[in-house]
Amino acid sequence: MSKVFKFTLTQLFKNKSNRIVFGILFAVLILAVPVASIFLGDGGAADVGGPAEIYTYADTLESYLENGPDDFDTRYAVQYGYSILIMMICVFSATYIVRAIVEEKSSKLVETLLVSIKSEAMIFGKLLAVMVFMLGMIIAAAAAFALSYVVTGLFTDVSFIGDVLAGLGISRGLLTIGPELTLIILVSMVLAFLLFSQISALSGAGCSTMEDLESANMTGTMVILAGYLISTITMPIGGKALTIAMTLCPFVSSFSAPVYFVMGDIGWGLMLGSWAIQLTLVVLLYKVSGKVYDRLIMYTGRRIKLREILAMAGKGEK
Amino acid sequence: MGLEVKNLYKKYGDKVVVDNLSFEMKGPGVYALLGTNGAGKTTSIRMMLGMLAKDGGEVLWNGRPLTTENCNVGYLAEERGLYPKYSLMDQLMYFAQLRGVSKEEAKKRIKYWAERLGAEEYLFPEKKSKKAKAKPKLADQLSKGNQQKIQFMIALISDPELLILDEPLSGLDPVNTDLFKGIIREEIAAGKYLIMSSHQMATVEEFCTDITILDRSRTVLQGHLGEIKKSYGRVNLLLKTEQDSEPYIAQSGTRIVTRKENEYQLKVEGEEQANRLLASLIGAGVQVVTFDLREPSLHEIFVEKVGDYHE
Repeated sequence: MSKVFKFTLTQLFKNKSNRIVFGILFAVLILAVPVASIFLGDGGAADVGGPAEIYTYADTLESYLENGPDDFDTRYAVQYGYSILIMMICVFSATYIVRAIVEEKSSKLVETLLVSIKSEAMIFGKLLAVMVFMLGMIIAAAAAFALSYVVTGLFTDVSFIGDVLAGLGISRGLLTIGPELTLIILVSMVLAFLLFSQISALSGAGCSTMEDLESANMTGTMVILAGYLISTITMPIGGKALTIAMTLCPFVSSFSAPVYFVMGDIGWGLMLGSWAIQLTLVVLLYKVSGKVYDRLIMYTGRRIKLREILAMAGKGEK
Repeated sequence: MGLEVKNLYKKYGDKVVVDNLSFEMKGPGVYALLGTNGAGKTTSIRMMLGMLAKDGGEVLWNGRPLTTENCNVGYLAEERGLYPKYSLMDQLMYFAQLRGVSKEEAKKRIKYWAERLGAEEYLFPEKKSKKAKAKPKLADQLSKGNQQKIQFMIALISDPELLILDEPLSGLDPVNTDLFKGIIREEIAAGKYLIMSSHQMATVEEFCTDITILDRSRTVLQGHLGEIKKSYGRVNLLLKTEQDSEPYIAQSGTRIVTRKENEYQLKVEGEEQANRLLASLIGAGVQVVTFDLREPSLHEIFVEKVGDYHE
């Protein structure tokens, strides 16, 4: 698996389109703060230490929880922001994974690969590589934005960013990222990625030509969108039963659970329960994939729909 | 020891696609798996390599179940391809490492095979080009034959002890066919186990010592190629004369298969009948240029066996 991981990651970084996308994203984030300060800022000189104040302020998780429940706007804004991030990561990854699988199948490489590696390892190596690539992109993007913020803050007032966020209902406290929150976001993101990517990989395994790529991609994207929509609709509503249901319901919980935790609606018990369910599903999908990939990896013919693929899993034969 | 395939069996639903295939390779050599389209050759190979689950039977390598962990396998699949947009060197290094070849060793082997197969200009363009920064080619920039060279390199990169070649020469021009044949001969000489599947009977005849002919999932003929041919006897006669020989051929009871001017392909019942024909031709003063009595070709045996079964 490590060799597939290494090869896929190297090719992702070597890919010209990826480098262009990455370059554009990096440039946009670097320029975002200075450009926004021209239009939104008051153009005044920065206070000493002002620019980094909001983001370097360290708080604890308990202090959020002490603040009590946030209002409708805050809940909606936080859920919306987090869901958008997760959705973007998962949709991008799903697209790449489906493409990689269909490309290998349509270019008739699979048989040569299967002499050396098990199909599960082949797919999982790819998933991990895409995950690391995406994580790298997020970290680089965040670093670019932070650098832009700090450097711009040396020359001009950037407090307008805090004002804009406050207008959306996001307080300074909510932007504080301590070790617990980092852990929660990271684990939740990884689980969400693994869950949705495996669905996309399964969907891709049912295709044999590049013409089927779009339909296969659509299946994975629809599952992601469903989770995204349900989470953004239900989050502002609140209510204990709904909160527990959305925390434990797989696919939706990838979007909802960490936000409920941050908002103080659930504690560690439910958070860990949510992770446990997601992790079980990830392992289950990995096992299902093992059976399905072996049956479908050399399949050539019409696209097999996800419903049929999952039905196939029970049979277990290659 | 060596390779043992015992009662390999596979079915999809009610349809049996491989029906109790068994064969053995006690020592290095070349074994041919022949058959009509859809006879079950590729399915058998996939089961042998563990890509497809078997519904019955076993495949042993030196007495233990064959896996790619206990046997260094090289495989040139019939359905073969390359990553179209990745560099060829990256792909070769990837496949070498997947087969457990170290980076340094892989580089050496790639260099060796690139020279051997005449693929240096695609893998090391800076050597062939005067330009210092000549770009290595991508797979989709190569012709089908040149892509096949890279695929052959992938099969050979781990220096396999068991080499499975599914239609290795299909789509190659005569020059590259000879190049590939030369390498296959070298592999045989190096004491490798080779399993070859091909529709090119002449090629199979050139390399293989033992064969299995499959038709619609079942084994219709199996054994040592020389012995099989011997069992048919010398029944093919190539006759070339200066004069028309047709009346003498008709008289002898031999059957004309093809005729081109005074060159005849004849089917005889045995050596005695052929000798009688020769005696009558000489007795009649016909000048005989070629008189070549042979065993049937593998092509004929194949057509006869598969045809029989179809009837």
